[in-house]
Amino acid sequence: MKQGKAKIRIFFQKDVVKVKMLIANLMLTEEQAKRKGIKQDYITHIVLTANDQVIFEFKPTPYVSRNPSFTFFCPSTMLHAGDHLTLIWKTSLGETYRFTQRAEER
Amino acid sequence: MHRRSFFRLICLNALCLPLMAQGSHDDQRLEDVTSMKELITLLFGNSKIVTDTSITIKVPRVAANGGSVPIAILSKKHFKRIVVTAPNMKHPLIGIFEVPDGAIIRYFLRAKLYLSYRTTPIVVFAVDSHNNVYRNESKFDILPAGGCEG
Repeated sequence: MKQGKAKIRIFFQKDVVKVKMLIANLMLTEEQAKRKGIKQDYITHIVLTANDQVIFEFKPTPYVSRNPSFTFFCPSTMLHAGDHLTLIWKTSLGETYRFTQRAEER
Repeated sequence: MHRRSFFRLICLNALCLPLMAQGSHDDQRLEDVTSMKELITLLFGNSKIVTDTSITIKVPRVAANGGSVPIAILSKKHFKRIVVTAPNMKHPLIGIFEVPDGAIIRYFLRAKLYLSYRTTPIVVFAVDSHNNVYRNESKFDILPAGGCEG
């Protein structure tokens, strides 16, 4: 599993936690890849876990924007300050990337 | 004895071939599907789809950048799967959220919409824990002003 480039920002609010994340990937469609003359590379599966509990899971297609960014909310019971966040994503080229961070407000 | 077991093996393999062919059809990539009808059949089979206005979809009327169109999906009900589509696109499927138990359905993402001066609504399908399928559409169609990518 390779180390991937991503950013996760956490905002602790009253009863919910807002999570903003961004993953570095070109998210090329077939036409874009042909035009650039490279292999089509896009993310096929994203999972974010907090202390091994899945809090976000998404299966994108190449029709999600380049460097996909997501914002989602989860209850404060699922994500606490100091939790160990692990973001794993798989690409169409068969590669798996991992990014880890502590859940701290930044 | 060896000849009998050899012929038995050939017959078993011949029976397996149709099952393998069926498997390859099931493995068809959802992102390659170009028809909305086919996509719905592959995802939900013959399930009845009911409109549910409690699923809120927020999109801009005119997207300044067609390569990055913001989409918001909100619901107070709990669903286990949310499918986001843009029916007028060549490949309608944008992505599928697998919602964990106890999660809040408030998702914001950015999609790439290449429509060559056409418009598209965003249609969201939601599946609950009893495998009932619900559907809602954005209030107005998005007109992407043009993508900056590619």
